[in-house]
Amino acid sequence: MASSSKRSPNRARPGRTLSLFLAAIVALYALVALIGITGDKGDDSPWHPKLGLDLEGGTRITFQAKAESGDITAEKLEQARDIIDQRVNASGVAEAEVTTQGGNQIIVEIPGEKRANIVDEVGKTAQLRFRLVWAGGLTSATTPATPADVAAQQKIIDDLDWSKLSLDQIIAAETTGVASLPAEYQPGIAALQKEAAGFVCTPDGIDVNDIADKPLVTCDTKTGEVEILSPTVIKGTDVSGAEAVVPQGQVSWVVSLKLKGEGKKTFSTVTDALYKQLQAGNTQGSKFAVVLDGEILTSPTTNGHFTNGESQISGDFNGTTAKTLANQLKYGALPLTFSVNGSEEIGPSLAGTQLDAGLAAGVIGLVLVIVYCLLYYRGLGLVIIGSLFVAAALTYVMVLLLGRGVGFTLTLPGIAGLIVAIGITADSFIVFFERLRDEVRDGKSLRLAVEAGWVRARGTILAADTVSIIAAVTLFIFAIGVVRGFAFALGLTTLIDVFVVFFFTKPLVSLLARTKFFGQGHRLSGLDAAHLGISGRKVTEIARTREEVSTSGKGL
Amino acid sequence: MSTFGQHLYEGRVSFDFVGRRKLWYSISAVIVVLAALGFVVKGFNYGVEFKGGVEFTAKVQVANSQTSDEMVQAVEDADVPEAGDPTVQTSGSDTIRIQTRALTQDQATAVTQSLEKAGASEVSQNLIGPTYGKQVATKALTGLIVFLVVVVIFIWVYFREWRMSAGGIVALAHDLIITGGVYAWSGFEVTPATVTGLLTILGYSLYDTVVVFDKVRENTKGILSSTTKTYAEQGNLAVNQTLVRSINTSITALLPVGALLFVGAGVLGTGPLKDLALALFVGMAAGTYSSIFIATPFVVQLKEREPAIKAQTARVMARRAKEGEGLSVGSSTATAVAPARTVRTSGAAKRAQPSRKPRSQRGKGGSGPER
Repeated sequence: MASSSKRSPNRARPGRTLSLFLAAIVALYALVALIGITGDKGDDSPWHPKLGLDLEGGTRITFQAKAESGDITAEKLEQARDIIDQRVNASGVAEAEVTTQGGNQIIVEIPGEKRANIVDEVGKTAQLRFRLVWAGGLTSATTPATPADVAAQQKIIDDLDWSKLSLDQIIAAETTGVASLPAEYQPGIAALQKEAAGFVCTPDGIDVNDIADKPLVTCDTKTGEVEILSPTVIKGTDVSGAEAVVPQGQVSWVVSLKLKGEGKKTFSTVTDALYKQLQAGNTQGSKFAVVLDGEILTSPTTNGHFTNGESQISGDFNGTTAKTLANQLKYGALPLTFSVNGSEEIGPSLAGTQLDAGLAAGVIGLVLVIVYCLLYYRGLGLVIIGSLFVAAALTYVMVLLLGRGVGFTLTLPGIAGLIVAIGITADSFIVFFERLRDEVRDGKSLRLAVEAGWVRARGTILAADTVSIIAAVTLFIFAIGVVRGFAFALGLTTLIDVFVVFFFTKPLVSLLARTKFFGQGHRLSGLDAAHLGISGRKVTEIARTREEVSTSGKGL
Repeated sequence: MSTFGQHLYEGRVSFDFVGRRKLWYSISAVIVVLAALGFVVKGFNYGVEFKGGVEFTAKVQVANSQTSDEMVQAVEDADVPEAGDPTVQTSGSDTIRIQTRALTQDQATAVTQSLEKAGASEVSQNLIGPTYGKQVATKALTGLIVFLVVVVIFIWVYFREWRMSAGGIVALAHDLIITGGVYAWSGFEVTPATVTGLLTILGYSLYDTVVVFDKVRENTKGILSSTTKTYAEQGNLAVNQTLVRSINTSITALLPVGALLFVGAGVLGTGPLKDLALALFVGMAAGTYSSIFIATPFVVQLKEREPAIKAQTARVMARRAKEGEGLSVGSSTATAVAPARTVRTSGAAKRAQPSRKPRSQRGKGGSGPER
């Protein structure tokens, strides 16, 4: 509204808006160039968008379900596939594909090369358990115990039936000491303590045999502390949600945790007992540990009695570590355990001809649109073409930047989406130009018609684009995989459309309306009287009376 | 073309979209029923992403895009229809993977032999489960439902008219069923790319409808105090006035998609391009059609049931009957029998002129200096 209510500043504005907008685009390209110069990883050029599996190939990792992890049913494998899928695709819009194969394998295909870290991320976070800390804060040994010793100790531990222990007994073993356990378990405790004494904690990961209903000696690789843990009290499958948040009024990150089912009840019992210990000053006896694949993720102190299964884990988190922990908690509970069966580089799944054909189609489509616009809108067609090219330039630079920033990956459907966007973007201009012509027909001079037509077109364009944005945002939030990437592309192109039409097309038309060629309605400008459907007056004149218009109407 | 636009704008040339809605509804009903029949009779041809399939692994001399293409050809040559449109991928420097839909043992053997004939060695096969197809579809469905709810509310709030929401949704359902029907009948594969295509249609269909509705709203502003035009006539005029835009937009949107479809289906004959392009082409064409022929007539129909609009239409008709004693036969029957029908033919030119007076005055006095 402001743009047309104050007329005099409006006159000065279009040129400035235009140059600012173009400068912003140049700045974005400069940013890409800067990334290219300062790029530390030395991988592919910043001018090359991140391409999806179908276009560029990537890394294929095969996970084999371990036989000892129980019955490998199709249902469990499918569950595991779902979880791995969520985990791989949780971090952005990278569009990895996850498949089951041969009844006991899961195949993960991730775009891009050298993604070995994915193997760690996916393969490592397999089994999540909550255990109590029977003895914590022990120091790591410097030389490892002999394998024979470890085997002997493990045998003593394995021979005992720890599952007979009640939850109360497990809690008591932490709060009042392991001596409170029945006499038959004491040899096992002794073995655990020996094992802990000879345990070497290395920061690059440890290899322990984590069995759910047996106690475990392991360590927190971040702090290097060795701990003796109780049998599992809560399974990872009882976690119903985890999120990294900054609580209101606080500055540090915490991980909020939600439990369901049996885990909720157990958590209430455990935190009740442990919180009492904390109040009594027994910090060591108030800890529990979150263990992922045998490694302690975190061993927080219980500082409250949580009855509804909801709690928060606080600690020395930053945004990244809190999110990582939340993801590990949320997606950590695989129903099977897996081993990595190899990873290899794969080529694009799309035959080369498909990409070439797709690009050819894009070019053909663009040329057809350009020809049509020139034929129909003549001079104004040049404005459409210019706008489309500006939109294309803006889209390309955003795809580059978002590929860097959030891992946005272009796939064939994505490219098709961008091609489709040509038409949808052109629609904004068409709405504007048709409105402009309507205003001239209604009797306004061209200059006035540009402003009045714009005011009316603006509302329509915004309303229609809002529908597209709603589609993009809901699909991005609620959908997954290719759809997510597509929604991202849709939202991006819609926003770019709004920016281009507001900051490029409109100011450009305002400027052009002042030129002789357009403003006086040259025959080829697309704004000539005949083309606008008026005659008997010049497009620069305001039709004063109805009679004039109606006579002119008869003349047609 | 431009004078045609001018005539449409002034109402001198007017297509009766609203009045002849029974005709458009019938045409659409036939198409929709045919499409729905496709779901029942033929069903969808789900791709490997939904149903699982077979993966062949083969050694070749050099694995590159050229040998990939050769292997696609080899699979096609095996003459097993189920194995059509395979996905081929290189793996390392000398291995190629080929994914097809589920095959019987005999079919798989035929494909293996064909691959060996084309120069592949050590061909092995492995069953693969459905990938993310189902998950994509279920999640997309969730997204779709949320989107519909939000967009219905948005249209309602923006136009302050629930009937517009209803019209938009009816048009959308129309487009989706037709697109689905084309898929079922043509036997084109339903893949996640198809799902993506369908979702694009959602956005486009509603986008297009909103543009037309915006003009309807503008034209019917203050309709209750008008004694010269009915809601139906103004609605129809809006569709006519946006017709040039609708045509231009459809052309610019369909040209690139048409190129995509032509190249995908016509030249290549295989691959995900055509699956996507077909959904888009049919859906976008249907989207434009439904905005004009279904959405607006439907809104007008709902609107005419409103007592205030009913009364206003009756007033206009009464006035016309009084004035129009000497009018041509065509328009007098139109006023008496079908109030929604716009006046056509030569009489319309006379009638359109006085109606332009308030608008052109509004145009000058209202939107110019004041805003």
